Amino acid sequence: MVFLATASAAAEQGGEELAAGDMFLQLFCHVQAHTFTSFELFGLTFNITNHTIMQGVAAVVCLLIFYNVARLATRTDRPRGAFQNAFESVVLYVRDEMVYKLVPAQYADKLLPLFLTFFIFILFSNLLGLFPIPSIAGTSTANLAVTASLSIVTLLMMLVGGMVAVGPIKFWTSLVPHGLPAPIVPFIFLIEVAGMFIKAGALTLRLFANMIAGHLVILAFFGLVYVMQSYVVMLPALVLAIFITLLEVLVAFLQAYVFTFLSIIFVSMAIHPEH
Amino acid sequence: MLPETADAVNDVAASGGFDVMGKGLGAGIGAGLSVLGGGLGIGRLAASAMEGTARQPEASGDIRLGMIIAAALIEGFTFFGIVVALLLVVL
Repeated sequence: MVFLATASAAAEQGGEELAAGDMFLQLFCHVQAHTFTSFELFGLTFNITNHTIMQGVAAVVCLLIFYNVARLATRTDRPRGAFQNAFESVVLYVRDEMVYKLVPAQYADKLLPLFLTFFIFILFSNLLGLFPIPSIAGTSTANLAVTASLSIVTLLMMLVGGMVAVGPIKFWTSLVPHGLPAPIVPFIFLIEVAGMFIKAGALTLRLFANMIAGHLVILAFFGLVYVMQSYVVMLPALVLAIFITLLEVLVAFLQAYVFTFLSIIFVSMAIHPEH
Repeated sequence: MLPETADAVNDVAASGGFDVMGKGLGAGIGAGLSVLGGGLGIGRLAASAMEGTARQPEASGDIRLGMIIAAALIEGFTFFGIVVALLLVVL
């Protein structure tokens, strides 16, 4: 994809007219990761991109905020202030309305930190992507690698957590319901195993596509100024882009909630198979 | 800029850009169709959520929660179609 970006840039500098579709490529390369440095390790190439930096920024912001929230959570001698109450209400919402209601009681406290981390990290990553600092900031969850690694954590929790909770043999044999005719049992088993991987893939693609699509729409509205080749379009394009940015804030919260909710459902179905 | 006459379109096609034209057309039609399906699905969802809330206003909190979750799931696989259209243009 970096090749396509450089190809269209080279075509433009060569003096040729941009063909149809190059405008889209120009927009698309704005939502992709820009590599800063790159190093080789064990034969693999690791690129440090702006998405890597934004992941680090999101992690540092989470640590700073929630270290203080946790430290002040037990203080009862004076009122704790608006920020403390806001973050505490978020944590209490995830704990009471999502985890305690859906996860079996014996695993709820052990799995609560994982789901809280999912929610807060994805929420902060999505919201940090709305800062329009060119080529340093970006939406780290608008990268397939980032969302795939979050989904792989859910997948590993489904497999490993399920095998630890009920034992490996019972975990794999409870994928197929009892009382089915013998010829279709292998098919059902394959479908269930594939279904686990497809659920993780759906988590990946849903979060990635929501983040990419929102930013592409904002960029497309600003790109209208270039397509129409006139400054009159600037004000309506700005108004529309502001509306879409507000929608993006809603989508950021919603996608964090949906990712966490579906992770909770998948993991609790894996560790407590209903017969 | 964009080809404006039939001759310009022929020039784009003749210069090997036919693949790009075909891919662009397919991506556009595919994206439009997936938006059609997603819009219909979420519209029906919202209609039945409104009707359920009108019949029993006490359940509006539960209905709203289920509506948001179902809307996010439907939007999820609408976006799968969009991503396929993106891949068609970019790759």
